[in-house]
Amino acid sequence: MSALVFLPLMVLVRIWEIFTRNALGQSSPWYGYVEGEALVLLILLSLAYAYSRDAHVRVDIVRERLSPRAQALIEIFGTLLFVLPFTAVVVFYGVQWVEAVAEFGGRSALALGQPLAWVIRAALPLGFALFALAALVALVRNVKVVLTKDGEPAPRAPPVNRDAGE
Amino acid sequence: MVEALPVMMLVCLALLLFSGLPVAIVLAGLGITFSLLGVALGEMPLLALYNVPIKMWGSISQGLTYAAVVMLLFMGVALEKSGVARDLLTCMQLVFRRVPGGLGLAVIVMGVVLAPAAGLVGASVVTLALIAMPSLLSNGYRPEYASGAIAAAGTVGVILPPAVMLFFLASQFQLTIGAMFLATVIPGGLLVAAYALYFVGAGWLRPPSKRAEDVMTPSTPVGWVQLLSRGLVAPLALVGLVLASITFGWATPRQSAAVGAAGGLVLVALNGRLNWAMFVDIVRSTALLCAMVFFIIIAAAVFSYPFVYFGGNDLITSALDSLETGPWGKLAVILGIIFVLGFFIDWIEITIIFLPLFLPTLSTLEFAGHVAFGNDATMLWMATLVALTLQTSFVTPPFGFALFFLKGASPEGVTLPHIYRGIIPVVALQVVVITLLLALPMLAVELPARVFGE
Repeated sequence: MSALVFLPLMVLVRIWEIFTRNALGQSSPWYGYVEGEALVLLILLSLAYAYSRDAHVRVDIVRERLSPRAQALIEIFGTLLFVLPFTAVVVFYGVQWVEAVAEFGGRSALALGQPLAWVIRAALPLGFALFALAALVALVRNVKVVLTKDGEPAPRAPPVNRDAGE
Repeated sequence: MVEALPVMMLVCLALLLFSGLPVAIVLAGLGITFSLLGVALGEMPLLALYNVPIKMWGSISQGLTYAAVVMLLFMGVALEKSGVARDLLTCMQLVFRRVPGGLGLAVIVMGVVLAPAAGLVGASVVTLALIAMPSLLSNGYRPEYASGAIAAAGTVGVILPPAVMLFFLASQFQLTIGAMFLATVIPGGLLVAAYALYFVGAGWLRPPSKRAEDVMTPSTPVGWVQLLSRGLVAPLALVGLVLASITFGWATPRQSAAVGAAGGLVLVALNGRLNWAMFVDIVRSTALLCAMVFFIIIAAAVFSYPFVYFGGNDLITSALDSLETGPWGKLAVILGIIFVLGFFIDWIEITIIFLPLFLPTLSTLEFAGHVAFGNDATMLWMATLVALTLQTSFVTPPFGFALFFLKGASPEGVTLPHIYRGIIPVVALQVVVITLLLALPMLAVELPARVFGE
């Protein structure tokens, strides 16, 4: 799964955080800046991974009484109506925003000691593009569940994307 | 037409949450749907959508304490995965073993010790659930009892000093942080005492189905010293260090949390359980928790953008001003609204986005006959009321979002109905304490007045 790419990346980010932490003795605004950016990177690049592991909170008081097939149908509607338009808007306008930051804010940001501001902001459209990918993978699985007759789970396709319980 | 949009947004939100789709996706999806609807109706320029990614970015990059949240989560996960936290719980269990419901009491104490450090409700509840839920269940406590204790312990920290929320409330109400801290000491203490009484009583009336495990009880005095120093003294020292450095201003919350995270890793190493696989495991679990918590914050920003744009805020202010119910009625309505908002969003959005809408109304309310010490004291009393109301709302079924975090972090066997049944007595205790505070403003005002003068 594409999301597994994140793990090494997150470990790197985390080591970087620990490094800045240990350097606290000679603290400067720069450490806070790196820490903040590392935090944002960590969050944005974990979103899709968490979605693929079904780690996002749900109100499952009604859901857990539905058949796998009904759950899959709801999930398909959710993906088509909410996830895809949302990620499309974020990626489309996010890319424009990153371009604007790279072009317009480049010089002033350099003066503030943040020359790579746009690279880090690029994680926003990137993170949600990956989120859309994870949603598409889940969509294919859910379509399979619905198409399998009488709601029998498709072979090797767990109902929805619940393959982790962490 | 445009006036109806914010109302429609709230109605759709309430309905769609029950679809079982991830909460963050419902929030973000509705935000985008209503933005597009606004564009289609000509109420919003298409260009306004350009602001969506910027708002999302701002929602996570401008929170001064979010890095602290991540690192305290890391500390919690490290303590949990390495068994250090279980040792802590075992020690408390040994300390409280003669007390009925001792493990529930241990969880409350842990909540008071651990939760103020976390600040964010979701983070506190998740951390406590990861640490204590498996122990409670394996000791034969009912899932209802276990989830009630954890939800109570995990949320009470948000109103006890040095909770981060109090900083935000103090700045909104233009109070000094010292006064705000002291104002919550007595009401918060009452709440903790009420929890402790209830969970001991419940444990006495319906004892756990299994006898408490005595496996860990050491046989020699040296064993006791080893267990206590490893399981109780070291983690308490770590958490105490984090708390003290925030309280006494030795370091910023972010730095203190970083020390906590590093210290957590050191404790893991001291227990001889640190290896690469463990490290990867801790990092991965932390990342999943972060994604879960912060996606909701990002999505709330997407939801509130069109909500505010369509005048949801002004709608609220003008509606409040048109009420003709006197100060008590207005206060009740505002607390009620904050209570409902607390179902959906964390105190961060409420104190930063919504509270300013109510403040013009709140500051004109006249309670001179009820609250001694004048105007500032009235504000202090109302700020404390807001804090307690928010905390209650986080744990009130069916929406209270601390409950969803609790569900997310609990093992498979714990269902939402278990959690709902377990939390009802806790909510009742909350209501009692809030009523007391409404009737007796002295509870909040007396201590700061004694310390700082009038």
